[in-house]
Amino acid sequence: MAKILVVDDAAFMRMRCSKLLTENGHEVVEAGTGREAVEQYKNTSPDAVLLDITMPDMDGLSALKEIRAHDPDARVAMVTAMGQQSIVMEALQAGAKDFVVKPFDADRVLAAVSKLVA
Amino acid sequence: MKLADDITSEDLKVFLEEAEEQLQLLDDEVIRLEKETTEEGLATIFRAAHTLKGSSAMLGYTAMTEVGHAMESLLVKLRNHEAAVTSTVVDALLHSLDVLRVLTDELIDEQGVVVDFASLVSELEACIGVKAPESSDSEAVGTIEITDETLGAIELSIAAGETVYRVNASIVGDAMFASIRLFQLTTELSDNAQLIAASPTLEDIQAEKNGLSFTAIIGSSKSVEELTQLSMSVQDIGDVAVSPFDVVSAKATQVTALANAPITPISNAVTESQKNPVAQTVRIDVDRLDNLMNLIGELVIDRTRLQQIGRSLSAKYKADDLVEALGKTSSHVAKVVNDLQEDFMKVRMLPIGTVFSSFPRMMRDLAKSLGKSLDFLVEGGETEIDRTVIEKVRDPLVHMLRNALDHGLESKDDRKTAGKPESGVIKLSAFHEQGHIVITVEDDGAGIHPEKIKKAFVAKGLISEEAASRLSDDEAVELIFLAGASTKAQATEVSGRGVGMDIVKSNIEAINGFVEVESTPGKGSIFTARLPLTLATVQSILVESEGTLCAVPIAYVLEAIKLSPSEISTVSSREVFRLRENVIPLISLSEATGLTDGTRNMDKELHVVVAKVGDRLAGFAVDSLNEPQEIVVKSLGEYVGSARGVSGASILGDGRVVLIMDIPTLISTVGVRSRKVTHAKELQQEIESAPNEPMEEAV
Repeated sequence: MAKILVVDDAAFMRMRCSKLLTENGHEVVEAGTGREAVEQYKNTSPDAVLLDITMPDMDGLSALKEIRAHDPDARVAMVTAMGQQSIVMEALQAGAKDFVVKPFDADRVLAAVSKLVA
Repeated sequence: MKLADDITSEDLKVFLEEAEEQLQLLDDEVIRLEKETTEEGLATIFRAAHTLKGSSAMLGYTAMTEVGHAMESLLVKLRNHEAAVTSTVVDALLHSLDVLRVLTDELIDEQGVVVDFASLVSELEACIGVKAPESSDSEAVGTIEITDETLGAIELSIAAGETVYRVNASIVGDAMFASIRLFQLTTELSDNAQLIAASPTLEDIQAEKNGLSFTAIIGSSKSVEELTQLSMSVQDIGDVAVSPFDVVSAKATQVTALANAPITPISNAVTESQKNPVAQTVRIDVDRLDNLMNLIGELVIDRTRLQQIGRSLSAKYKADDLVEALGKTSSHVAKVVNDLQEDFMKVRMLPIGTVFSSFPRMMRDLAKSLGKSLDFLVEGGETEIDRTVIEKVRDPLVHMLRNALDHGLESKDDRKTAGKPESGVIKLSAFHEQGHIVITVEDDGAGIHPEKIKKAFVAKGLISEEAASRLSDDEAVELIFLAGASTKAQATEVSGRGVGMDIVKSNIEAINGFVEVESTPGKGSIFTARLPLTLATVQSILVESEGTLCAVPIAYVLEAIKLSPSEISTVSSREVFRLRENVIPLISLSEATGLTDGTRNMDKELHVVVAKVGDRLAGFAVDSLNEPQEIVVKSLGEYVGSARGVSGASILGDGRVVLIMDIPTLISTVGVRSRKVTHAKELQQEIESAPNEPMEEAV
């Protein structure tokens, strides 16, 4: 049981993701933009973050950097679609621990989350 | 169409709502792109396409994902200036939007429409000028050449008490992310061991010069099992083999240098200290909002009752402490309810831009198909209006805009001849004015010629030549709101035959609105629609008819008059009266709604509400008239069903139920078209010369 911050500009994606995580006993906090994600991180100190890359009002990469600047131990996994390899790479270099590819299957998200909070 | 297994209808609903928003956004931005290309615009389009792609992939809706992906690829090129925004590109993007819409609609109604998205994808790819990417599986991998440096590192590692291992692994899952998975694996190993050498190296991986296999030499104090497990923990990595490294045989095969690439240090993000509070929004089902509005409506009614009871009580028990306390409490409740109602009305408001947003695309396409050049301007999209009104305003606006483009604007040649710029301008604006929203459609086209429209009406036999000659110019222009008004010689596909401004007018009047036109021949026309901000409350005159309390929305009331029996005549067994230049049919309100057979005391003076809908007039006789007041509309509900001539009901402060009259319906059955001076006079003469005699029914 961990507190996970789910960040995605698409409410549909947040809903799917939150549903999966809460069903598996996690607590979920949501954010719809990169800026919101940074705010939420500061306010709620989640155990892990699932962070979408393409978002309005601060993209995932900048949000990651801000979150890491605020908390160097932040555990963040990027959520990405195909075609964003180079950004993922940059994110991993910027301290993201893992990444999950959309469309994700449940097991992968859960595996990524348990690895993040381990 | 097959979707992911566990998609619920709720999921689908959220997906569709969001898809609709993204499509709308795309519509706007792509149209804007054609006018000016900005980084920001491209970024917005990219994000919307990306979101659609991601969400549809989640949904398991492959067709949509592929279209989204192709759009995204094109947009990446556009953003990187590797491709230019040409009209071909804009067309391809618009085509994508059309396909995406069809695909979304297909989710809703499952018509089984087959969409050729493959050809669209190649259309988009053609814009990039790129063929499908070739597989880069041919990179050399798997061998590490042992250098002196490597050996040195191995020896150091052994000296430090670590075991040296060789790790082999390969990508077994999704090869799409091979580089990133290998990057993760390398990082994982570096975190838990001394990475002595690797192939591909971290630099190669970062440059995506890697294949699907990986090999490394590491020094670590961890066991084979531990190392295997942590390698396997990276997704898509399999075939992991960790074995102790044979240093002796390796020494024999040392050749060239192989550096151990350092891992790029974490770059410190520049913290933008923007302390903007995060805007919090919640999505709410419209039904729930309506429900809440209903409850608030009840509260408003009870508030008024409470105040009335309070007043009666304090009149009865003067200076009673409890009554006074009750009075104070009830006036506080009244205030809170007022605020609640006011705030809630704001919650229900939407910017009219939600309706406007689809128009630029529509106008662009229409202008193209008509061969006209158009500058379409939109202003005041942020003007807010109740969602009950917003749903009903779209169709009339579409008609008005099409009319302006098709009938208003001249052809390019005609414009040149008239000394006007080739591009016509149509401006759509919205603003608030005195508790109403005003929407105008303004064009700089040919305007409406009073003489032309008169001729057309005479030719169609809609009015007599003599009547036409007596119409003022303003009156003639207003004729276009009559059925069959189209003056264009040929009916076009765009506006259809005689499409109607008459329909526009009746639609707008159906929501208690009002539309008018001002036109200057040669300069253009302005159509102005004035709409109520909400349909949840309505300003009405309360009348009593045969003991039933009825509300007549004030928007339809021309005036309220008193008639003496002598002022009433009968024409073709129908009662009429004269009001200035008009001869108006008279019917008792209770008869019109079918409550009574209409018999009444013929000697009494009558109260008459003269109502006007469009160009139709009727007088409704009632027993008494009251002051106008704001009433909260409540639907009649399922129990009553739809009653003819009654649009809703309300409850007054004193608990009495009042029926809200559906004046447009009532008047369409009894009203006559308003006749201006000329005709009215003829009619009047006929009435005077032959009272109580049958005559030809008016219109």
